Amino acid sequence: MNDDNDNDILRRLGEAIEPRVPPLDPARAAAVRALAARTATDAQVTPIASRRSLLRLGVTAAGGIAAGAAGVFLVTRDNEPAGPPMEVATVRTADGVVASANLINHTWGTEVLLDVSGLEPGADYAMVLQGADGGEVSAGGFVGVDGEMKCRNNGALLRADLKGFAVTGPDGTEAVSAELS
Amino acid sequence: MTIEKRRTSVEELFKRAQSGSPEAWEELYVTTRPQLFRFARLRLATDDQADDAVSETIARAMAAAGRYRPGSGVVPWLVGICRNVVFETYRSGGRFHSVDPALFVEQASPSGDRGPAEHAVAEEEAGAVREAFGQLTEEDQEILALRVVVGLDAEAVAEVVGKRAGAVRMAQSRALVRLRGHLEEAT
Repeated sequence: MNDDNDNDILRRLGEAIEPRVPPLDPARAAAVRALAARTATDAQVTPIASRRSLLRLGVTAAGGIAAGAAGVFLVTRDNEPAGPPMEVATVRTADGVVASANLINHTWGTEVLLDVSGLEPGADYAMVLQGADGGEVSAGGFVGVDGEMKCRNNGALLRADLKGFAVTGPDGTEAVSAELS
Repeated sequence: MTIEKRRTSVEELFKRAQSGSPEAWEELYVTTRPQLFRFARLRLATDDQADDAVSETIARAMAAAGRYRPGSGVVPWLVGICRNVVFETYRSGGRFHSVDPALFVEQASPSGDRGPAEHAVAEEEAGAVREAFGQLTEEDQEILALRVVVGLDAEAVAEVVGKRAGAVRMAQSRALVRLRGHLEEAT
């Protein structure tokens, strides 16, 4: 009897609280396949931040992942897990742009955590890491949106070799830049 | 498909994934997404956050596939990872809430074989159950959710929460007593 009662209330509970599952986003499934393909061929351990970035890229990730390219958070929520220590970067911005940036020094390169608003919605922006030797390494890009963006871009340039970074718009104008010591 | 056949299917899928098949990882994601999503959605504020948690779960599973111990069950292992992802989202300040009964009102839809009056009665009862569930502790909610929402048996729940199966059965039994108590208080 107790088992029957338990089963009955469990059934009622399941019916009452089970969340509706929305349809599968094919882009997410494709991103999983792309990440698995990259993981299978990449001998290095892929950091969690980059994995998350790849999964958020969705179709873009499935379409091809350039070496050292970025992943982008294109949302305005705070859901970053506690992680490694970050270095605050002092940034300069174009008129109308507000930004702050932190850097994470990884064994494989440098990650830039950029909070930015005031970019032109729909415009393509590119980030480059600037080396002490004068060279530049791509850290991927993102599309401007209304509101604040929280971007995480990665580039294959170690912090010790990094002189600065810059974000440029479609016309090559710098929207955000930083010089680092 | 029976539960046993489905479990075997997931285990076989995972073996293929472990051997490096991107297609198997994708299929594993598609197959396990409903269970993982339902678990994550109970704790996270939006569908998007829950789907992000599922994606992150699979990504971490890829990195940890070599450490998986056969026999414990792939789904409980994945749910355990998802549980950590959800907890980290909460700890980092992500929107997180105890189960809000109002969240599920939208999910009610008229059953084909129920009249409007019967549907209204059923929805009122479901609302009472959700209210009572919302009054349980988070530990009680989790134990019951893993059973009824994710569909895990006591052994699998034990694997997820790090307790013995006997302790899980006892905890579930006590949680149900408390749930009934809240329901009776409301009537």
